Amino acid sequence: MTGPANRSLLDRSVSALEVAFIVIVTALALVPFLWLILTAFKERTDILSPAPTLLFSPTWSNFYEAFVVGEFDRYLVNSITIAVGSVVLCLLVGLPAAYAFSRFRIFGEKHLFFYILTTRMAPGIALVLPLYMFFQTIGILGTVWAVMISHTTFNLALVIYLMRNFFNDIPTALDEAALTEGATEWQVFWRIVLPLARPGIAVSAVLAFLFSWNEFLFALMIGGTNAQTLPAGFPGLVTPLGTYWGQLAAVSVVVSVPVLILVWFVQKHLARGLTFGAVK
Amino acid sequence: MERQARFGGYLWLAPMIAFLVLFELVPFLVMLDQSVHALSYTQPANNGKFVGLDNYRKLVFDENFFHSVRLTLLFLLISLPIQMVLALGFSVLLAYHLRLKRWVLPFLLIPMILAPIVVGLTARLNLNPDFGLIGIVLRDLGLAPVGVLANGQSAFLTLVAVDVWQWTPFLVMIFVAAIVSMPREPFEAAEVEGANRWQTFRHITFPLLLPIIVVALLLRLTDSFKIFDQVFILTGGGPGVSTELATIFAYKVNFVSWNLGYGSAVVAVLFFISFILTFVLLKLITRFNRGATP
Repeated sequence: MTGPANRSLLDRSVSALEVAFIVIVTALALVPFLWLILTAFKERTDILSPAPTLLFSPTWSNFYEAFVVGEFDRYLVNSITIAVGSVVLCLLVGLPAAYAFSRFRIFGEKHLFFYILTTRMAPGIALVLPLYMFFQTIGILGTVWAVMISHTTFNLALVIYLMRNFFNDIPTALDEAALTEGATEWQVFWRIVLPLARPGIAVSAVLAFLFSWNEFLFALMIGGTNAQTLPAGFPGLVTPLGTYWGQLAAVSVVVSVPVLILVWFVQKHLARGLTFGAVK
Repeated sequence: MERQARFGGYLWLAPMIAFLVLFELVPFLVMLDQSVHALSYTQPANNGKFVGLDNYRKLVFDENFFHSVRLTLLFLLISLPIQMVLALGFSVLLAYHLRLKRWVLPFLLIPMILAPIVVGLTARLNLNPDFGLIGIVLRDLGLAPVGVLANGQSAFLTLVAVDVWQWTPFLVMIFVAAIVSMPREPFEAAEVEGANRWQTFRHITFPLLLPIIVVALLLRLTDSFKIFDQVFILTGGGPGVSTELATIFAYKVNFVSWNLGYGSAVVAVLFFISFILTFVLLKLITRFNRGATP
């Protein structure tokens, strides 16, 4: 016979098993990436060892090889320049647009919106090829400017969608009060709405930064050798003579650290950012 | 309330429109123009010659193109249902243990936020049959003696597995958020009635979640359709053409064979496909945003 006491014991053990299951699955999902991180600190012989072990003497040599001997220090500077530049460009172009979409009656708003979204949804190659040919024609192919602009094409959609969403959360009663006091639209935008939207701007900027920072194909094709970013440098370490696993792992760590830190700050808004506001 | 602005608000949109026209519309038209001309860096004899719709005609008869599109479809058809089912199960379970959420979710999200190229590299390292953590296990089990990437079929399934690993957390994230914000009453009623978990899921959670599931599915559809970096670093489309998805095919035609005229036609068609996907997605999102979305 199972009395109430027994059942609650059963319930509790099932519950404990479920908790264990959730934790174990999460941990297992992280193992491959943790392995990559460890690889970054291993000597070549430890990396290629057929008997993987956690016992090895850590070394910075892979970082040294990639960033001091190799050219990844230059790629790092390019990555930062391009990501920051793209964010600035996105905000300059995107904030007024998002404000207008949020506050004004705009003729053809739906169509414009749809057009903006297609640039975010299209496969990278569908944006890269046109830009490649266009930049070649106007002679800026292979510059950081070209990569910056190319990253703005897909980030602009994100910033406009997110910021319209954030602007919509700010009550228009504030605008209207200011407007009756004689403020201009520009003053309302600059003095009232933008300061209130600061958290939203930070989230948009962080996400746009990350998408640019992580991007590979645009940087590879449009950046060429002069404006290569960290991700675009990966194929250069996979050579016919062998794969430089240690350096690849070291570069991966450098690429991933800012991502992990920044996402920590915006995780509450991640769902919204990645679903165009469909999920709050 | 939306209000009227001078010039219909277009003054505020001017920078955006200028950017879109200059860096998206014009380049796209240049590419369309290119797609009706001959342009190849490897066979430059006819370069610049107007060829009408020849490039598109060639596409219709290109077995490699259709192979790549079929492969992309197959990839979506296998990968998306797997991650959907896994994510649904995991989210419901996690929702029963909500206090775990703030500890588990940040870690769970890591594969999703890493650079796609890093995701691909992580898989490649771990799957190496000689020194990779997973590769060694698969080899010793006799499942893949020379590595999963050496065989076409297993290489393809590896791409599926990587996509599942990377994106199931995304679905968990939005499903859990949706479940948490559901009205409590139906669940309390179900508890009073003595419904078990499966019944509760089938009759309450799932129907309430359905709008989000549809939106999530479409987001994943457009995103998985775009997959490139991971495949590039993992298999490069090989062995042979066994993992040559549509995006990889388009890349190779343009930037490996440097057949830019034909490549422009390929890209134009891919753009058209994603255009339709986006259209459907947006229609559904606006529809569900009107009330149904939690």
